[in-house]
Amino acid sequence: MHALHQVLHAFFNPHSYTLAMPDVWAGFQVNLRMMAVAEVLVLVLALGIAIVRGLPGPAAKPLRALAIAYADFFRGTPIIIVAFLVGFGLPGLQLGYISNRSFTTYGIVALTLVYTAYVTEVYRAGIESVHPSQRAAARSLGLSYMKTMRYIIVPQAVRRVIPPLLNDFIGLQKDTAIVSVIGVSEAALNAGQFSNRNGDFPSYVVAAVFFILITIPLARFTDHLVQKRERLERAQAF
Amino acid sequence: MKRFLPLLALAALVAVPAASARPAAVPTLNAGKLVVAFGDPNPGFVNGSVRGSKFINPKGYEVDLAKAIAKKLHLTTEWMYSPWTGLFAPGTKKFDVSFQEATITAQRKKTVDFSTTYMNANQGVLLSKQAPVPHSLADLRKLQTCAQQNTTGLAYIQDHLKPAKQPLVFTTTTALYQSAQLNKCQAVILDVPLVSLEAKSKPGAFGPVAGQIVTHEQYGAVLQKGSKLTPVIDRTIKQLTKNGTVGKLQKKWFNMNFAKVHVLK
Repeated sequence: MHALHQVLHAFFNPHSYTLAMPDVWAGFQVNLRMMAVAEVLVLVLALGIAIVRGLPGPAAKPLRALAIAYADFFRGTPIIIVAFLVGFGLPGLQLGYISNRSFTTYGIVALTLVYTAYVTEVYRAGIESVHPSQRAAARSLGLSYMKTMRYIIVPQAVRRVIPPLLNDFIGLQKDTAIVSVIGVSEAALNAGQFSNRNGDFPSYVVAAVFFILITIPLARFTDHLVQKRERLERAQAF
Repeated sequence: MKRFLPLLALAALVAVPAASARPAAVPTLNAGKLVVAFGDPNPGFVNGSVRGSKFINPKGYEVDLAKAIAKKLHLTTEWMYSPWTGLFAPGTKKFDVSFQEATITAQRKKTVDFSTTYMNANQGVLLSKQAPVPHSLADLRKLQTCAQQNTTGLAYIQDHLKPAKQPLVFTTTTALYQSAQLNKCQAVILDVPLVSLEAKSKPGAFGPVAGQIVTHEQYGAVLQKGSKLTPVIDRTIKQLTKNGTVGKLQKKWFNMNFAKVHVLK
């Protein structure tokens, strides 16, 4: 009984919730901003890199190699290290504009670099899943590689990869909390600060709830898309 | 059972005098051993390398102080690393006692025990190289301040200084100092002994220490809330202060009179 009381007091003290809410919410707005900007950037950049990676012909070999090297490096590096590299490395260069951004901006850059690498692979899987006859047909109609991509392949590929794409976005949304290490006052850092001052943990629970509130709808939406796709494919089988 | 009786009797004969020789065993986690935790390395206070939760070959004022305490209590020492974040979180501590320049506050006393003080410390202001030198607290308010999470420095900024720009907050001292070296932060607000020694140990990396803000803070060792060891450590620190050991160690490691740092008002 005593243990239960301890747990309730340490994690679910209602008074601490009301106290922690404003601070954590202020921090969470920073998370939301980072998520939104990073997700748009990732969507665009990753598609570009995936297309570069699929460029045909020997002339494009160096470009393909660059795209592969990029994906390998940033997919294999822990995001906390990328955050330090960008957040403390770029200002250290003392190069005017790129060295004078805020830590929040550097956080967005770090998230974008890492998640673009993941999402590039997702796009690539999608592009490769489109049947080769589609490409062959498009090229035989006289469409260039770029036009084939633009009008034939990418529209089909993107529809297929939306569920794994959203899955990566859930990861990205949670990882916005990691960039607090370079001094971004976001929800997790504010919650930590509050917890330390108050000697209990409701502030962390508040932060967790904020994250859950935006990731659960996204997860359900992903499920819904997967199911819809399955229904469609089964229908085609008949 | 019968066979063992003589053996038991013999054991009792051996055990009784041994127990009476040391009437009051020091209530540490492991008998005969004092597990001492340090935080992030800070010049003068504790230097050494951290490997996971191990602190390899620590050296500094707090290390010597811990050694002196252990010696007085006839204990051997074991070093460990315990991060600053979470030091004041409620729960069971894995150390007997932790020295990490922790200021004694009423708030923190709700979750941990503090020993009697082993050093005085006001807040200090360390500038980045490019920052304009503040001559008053009003000047300081105009700078981009920064502090470490869960420090009295941050509490001072938020509750008293209230600068124009939101302070930058870092989870580690390392990241805090790094941001000042990059001029992302213009004024680090942290205990004056810490910033003075950091500036001294890295010549040319920072601007000057702009001064100290008198807050009458004191460092105490951190122990498990309600620890039976607290009164024992208290008594020992008082003895060591009285016999001059504490003063001697401060002189040995700091060779600096922090009271003489210019006072910002």
